[in-house]
Amino acid sequence: MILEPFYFGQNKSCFGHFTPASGLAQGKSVLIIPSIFGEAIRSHRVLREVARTLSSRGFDVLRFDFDGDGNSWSDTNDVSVQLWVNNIKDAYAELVKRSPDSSISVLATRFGAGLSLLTINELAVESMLFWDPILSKNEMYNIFVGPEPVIIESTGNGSNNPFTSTPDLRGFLEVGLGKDFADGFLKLDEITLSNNDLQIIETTDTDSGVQKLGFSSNVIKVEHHCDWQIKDLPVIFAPKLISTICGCL
Amino acid sequence: MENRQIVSPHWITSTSPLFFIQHQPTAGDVNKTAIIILSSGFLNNIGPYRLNVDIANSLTAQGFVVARVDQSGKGDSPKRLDAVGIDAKLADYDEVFEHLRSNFGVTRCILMGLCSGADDGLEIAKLRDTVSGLVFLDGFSPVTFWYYLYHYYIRFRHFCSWRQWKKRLVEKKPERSGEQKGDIKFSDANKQYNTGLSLRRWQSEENVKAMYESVLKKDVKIMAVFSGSAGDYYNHQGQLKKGLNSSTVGLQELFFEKAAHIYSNPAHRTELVRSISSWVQLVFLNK
Repeated sequence: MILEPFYFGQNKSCFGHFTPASGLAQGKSVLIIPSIFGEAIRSHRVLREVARTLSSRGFDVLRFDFDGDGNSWSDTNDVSVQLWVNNIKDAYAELVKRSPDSSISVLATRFGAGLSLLTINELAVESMLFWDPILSKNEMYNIFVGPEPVIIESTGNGSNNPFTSTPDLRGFLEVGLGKDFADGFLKLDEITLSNNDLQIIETTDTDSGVQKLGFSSNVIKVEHHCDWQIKDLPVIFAPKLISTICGCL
Repeated sequence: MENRQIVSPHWITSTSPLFFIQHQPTAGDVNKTAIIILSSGFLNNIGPYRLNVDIANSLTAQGFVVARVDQSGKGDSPKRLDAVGIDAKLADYDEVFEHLRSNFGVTRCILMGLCSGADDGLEIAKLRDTVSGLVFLDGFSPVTFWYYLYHYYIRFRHFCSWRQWKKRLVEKKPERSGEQKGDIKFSDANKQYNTGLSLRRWQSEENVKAMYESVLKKDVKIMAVFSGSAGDYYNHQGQLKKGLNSSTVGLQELFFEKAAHIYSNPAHRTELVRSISSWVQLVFLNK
């Protein structure tokens, strides 16, 4: 199997790993959008195996690391939500360049799923698959500050939408994220789920909240304890999860 | 920092595919001693909280070429089909070192690793003469008489609090040194995840001592760093030196009592990177 590591994007700062189809080409490709920080490390092994399996089934696959994380450049202090959204656009463009005639599906994990929804309307994507997506601002914030209780100040507008609450900025600064990131995070608007080709994989004890949004028929449950809320657990390796993900794409 | 270095991904495919990221200084002469950072546990070359990236950036700025390696079977490198165990680790090391030697003319290298990466480093250093330095993060240490003395001394000091056990039952336990929220070592989930999956192969005390002594005899310089999470076998500064029978002239020992095994606290991480950089600079710069 051939794996092509490279740097891409405007500053050539984003690290990508392209896995071309090794099996009979299907004319399809998959963009894998990871989560960030510890979650990206924990899910790396699963996503690597997904890429290998899909490649053997004839898919071109592109994985990448967000700027300021993993093998990409930039200091964590310099990243912003907009930069990460641009990373997704750049990765998509790179996949189109490397696999020009194929239809593209997106597999996004956790925080990556939330970020992908901010840009997905600008991309021609055939289908989307989310693995334990984080679709609320409160839970996104938890990634940065860990499992302790989140301090949320209500904006007082009476909305139940989690994207209208204001998180405490200290959590960002403690993990090395700068003010730009915090500002961008606060400006995140409501994320809407409208794509009919959306599928969601939820592992045991994980509730992405999509059922409340009327997408219960799109949810596939997989019996595996990812325990995302515990920050420093080891790398996830779940063959059943890998086969389910690959089966959905 | 990145503008003073070239970071490039590499695959070595001569026998079994092996993936690593290379950090190369852009200006000045490259030091003839290279740094190879071994992956730990099932993690890839990035390390916990990007620790390996931070270390590599810091050392490249000093003129060292650094390789962060996904050892076979970890990260993006597939399992070797031609070797297993220590033979696979040696094959990985030989291939990366040969790449660095042929591209940069390096003659020696420093091996660096956390946890199982530290264990691997010690085993490789024992068998390869090109290794001139080792940096261990929570590597092996003999459990000495002094360990037990210290262990019970701490408990004796807190004897009064033992008597208040009833009160403690209803109170929140204070954070122990090295213990952090979400730390695997102290989580309930540890029991479930840490059974049979550990990559660490604990050696007998005699083996550990023999390995250290053999490596020190070859004039390999060692920096051994222990965190508070290593409390099961290491609990005071100087324990490793006390536990070895031979000369420990080339051994620098550091105890980050407040730090967790994976250095999840950014301040501890910064302090660790600074300490490693200073030691490498002091011992290996211009050599």
